[in-house]
Amino acid sequence: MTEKILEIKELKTNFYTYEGVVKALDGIQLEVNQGETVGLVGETGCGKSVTSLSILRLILPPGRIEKGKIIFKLKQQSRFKDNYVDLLSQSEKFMRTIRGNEISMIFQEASSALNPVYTVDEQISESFLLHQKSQLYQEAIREIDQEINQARISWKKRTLGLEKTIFQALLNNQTSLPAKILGFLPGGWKYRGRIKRQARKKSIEILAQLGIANPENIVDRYPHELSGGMQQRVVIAMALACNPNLLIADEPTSNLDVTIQAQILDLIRDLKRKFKSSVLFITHDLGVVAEMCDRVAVMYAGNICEIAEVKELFRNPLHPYTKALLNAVPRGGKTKLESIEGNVPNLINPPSGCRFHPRCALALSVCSQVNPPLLERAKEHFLACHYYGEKNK
Amino acid sequence: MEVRAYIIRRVLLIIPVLVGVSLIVFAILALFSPEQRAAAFITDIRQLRDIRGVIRSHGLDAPVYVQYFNWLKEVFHGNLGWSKTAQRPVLTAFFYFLPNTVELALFSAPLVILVGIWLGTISAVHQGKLIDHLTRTGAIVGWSLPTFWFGLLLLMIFYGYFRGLLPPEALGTQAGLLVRSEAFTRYTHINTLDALLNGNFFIFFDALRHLILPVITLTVVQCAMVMRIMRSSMLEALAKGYIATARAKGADEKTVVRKHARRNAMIPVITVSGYLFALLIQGVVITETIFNRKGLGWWWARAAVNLDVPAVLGSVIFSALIFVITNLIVDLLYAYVDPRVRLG
Ligand SMILES: Nc1ncnc2c1ncn2[C@@H]1O[C@H](COP(=O)(O)OP(=O)(O)OP(=O)(O)O)[C@@H](O)[C@H]1O
Ligand code: SF4
Ligand SMILES: [Mg+2]
Repeated sequence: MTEKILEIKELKTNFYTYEGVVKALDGIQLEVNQGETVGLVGETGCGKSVTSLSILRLILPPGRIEKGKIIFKLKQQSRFKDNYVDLLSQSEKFMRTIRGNEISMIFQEASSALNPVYTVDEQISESFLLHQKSQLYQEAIREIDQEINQARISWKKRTLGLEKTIFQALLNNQTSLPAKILGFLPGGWKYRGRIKRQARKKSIEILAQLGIANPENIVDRYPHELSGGMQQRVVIAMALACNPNLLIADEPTSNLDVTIQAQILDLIRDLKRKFKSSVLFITHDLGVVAEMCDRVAVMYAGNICEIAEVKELFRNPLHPYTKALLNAVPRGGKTKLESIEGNVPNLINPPSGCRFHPRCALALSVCSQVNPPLLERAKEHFLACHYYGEKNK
Repeated sequence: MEVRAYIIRRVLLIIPVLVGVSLIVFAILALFSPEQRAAAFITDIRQLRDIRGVIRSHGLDAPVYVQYFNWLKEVFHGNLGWSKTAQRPVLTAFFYFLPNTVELALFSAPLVILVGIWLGTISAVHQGKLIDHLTRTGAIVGWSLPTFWFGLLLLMIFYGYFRGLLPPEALGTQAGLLVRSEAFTRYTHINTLDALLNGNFFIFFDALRHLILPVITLTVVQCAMVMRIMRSSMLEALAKGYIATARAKGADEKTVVRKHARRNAMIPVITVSGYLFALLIQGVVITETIFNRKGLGWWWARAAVNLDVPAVLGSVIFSALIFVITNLIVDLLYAYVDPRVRLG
């Protein structure tokens, strides 16, 4: 019954810096099912953000995705078999139709995620203008039809009729000649204006769906006129604008104060239900994971070391690193990952074999030679550790 | 409404600025002895015998503040004095020399802004690539060249080795005669513009040919400066979170650079454009003198050398006025581009 919408296989991403090659992701395995929230946790620098950027193929030079597969299920009918597509084998142009449309991302810091020189409307509308042109054209045509019905003067009817034919031409072929001419013709503003009004309506709509009071007012503000919590809501509205299949939230509540944090988390949970999208939720706050996620993947130094359902993971952690993480959490109070013995490894010369072995109390001799594969050790419980296999021989 | 009140306030502020500027000029004049200043009025060697008379007739022995109030009185009657270097009243001379300078500025300013911003953007987008190294080296060289030195270099090359290709002054002999003829209507006194309005392409291209070297001399330093500021602010903008957001939205690279990064990166360029304008005035004096182009800068340079007091006073006040107005425009533009800035 559960349908995979994202399957990452053997994903490797490197950064070619002056100091050397940073092996940021070393064969990531991860799946996200339809309608599910998967948490991705790990210490700072373990590669959570790089994973999310790799999914969207937004790794910029000096970084490069070396190998792997990112199989994603499209929401719309397409030429691909069962709508499954390997994002890594697609063109950059194709990826642009995915970003913000099929997969959206909320970045770590809300305050810098919004462009200071554009209004909220301009920024949310951009998503509609990028991905839902034809819907906007259809709505524009519908609006023109209404105006034609109301128009009394015949020349007005005629100009509206002309406008309608232009939009119909645009609807049929978005790269048609009229579209190109309207793009830079000074008179084109009239038609662009109508489209922008349609997009604005949708922006107000989405803000209203997020439960924001008087969205008509918020929509004309600039980011600096909004509070941190409101900025983050706008960022979320922007991400959900085109109703994506997958939402990647990269620490969406860092830098917000605690009450606002709780509100934003509630919002994401509600929206997930309302929009029926799946969420990849990145955090280093285990408390948030327990609250938000169905399943959790634990990451260490560019590897996934354990994946399990939330309850299972908290009740029965198998990986030494996960255990250490859970022990490091003072129950009830502050729930941040911190103070595990040893240093976070440097990813230019990572430890051989299991990258955790220098810090692992249970390390075997094989650990420093062979990288443990991620295997299903209990039902729906995946683990990458030699010790477990040895113990249960 | 708020904007209009702001503009009115700023325009009213011009008056104290002008008073201040004129006071400074008079204070400098007070450093000279009456005899030294009288020398400025002597056109004939025989007048030397009666230097006292010259001093008295021009009121040069009165205390400075009296001279200042005399001068103010004249100004209120619309009389800025007689410029002996221009052989015209100062106000008339100003409007006589203005068009040539406006023409120079009209060609230079857009060039500075467009080329500077364009090169800065390219070099930031291709950071570390060959084109970046080339434009940066070019900018360092351009920025370090003193304007007069660069102008003289061009002068040497084009007048010395390629005679007649890019000649000095504002127009050639033949075009100059044509311009002054009955058949040519002078709408604006700006040569290129008038030539186009008259449909005379010979004059147009001749004027253009005479513009090339001064424009290059004038723009090179400022282009380099705009380019360097643009490059660094563009790099800063491209590293911002909103750029990642734009990419994650599905915007293409062109939109990311032009719409999201550049608008933000322009803000520092606008803030320095007031300073750029000061550089422009300074450059105009040097450039027009080097290329013997009879505009305001040329006149001012000669007035200063010949102790043409009314002309110097007038020119300082004119440039202060222009400077204040440009700064007002810059501030308005700044507030328009950056919504975080509030006028007040
Ligand atoms: N542009 C880059 N150039 C070089 N190395 C990079 C770059 N981006 C990321 N890395 C490296 O990749 C590794 C993973 O970084 P990433 O940003 O994914 O960490 P993270 O898990 O998101 O941490 P945090 O919790 O601090 O956000 C780090 O070791 C980092 O040094
Ligand atoms: S594989 Fe070995 S070193 Fe790695 S976590 Fe398991 S026991 Fe520890
Ligand atoms: Mg991160």
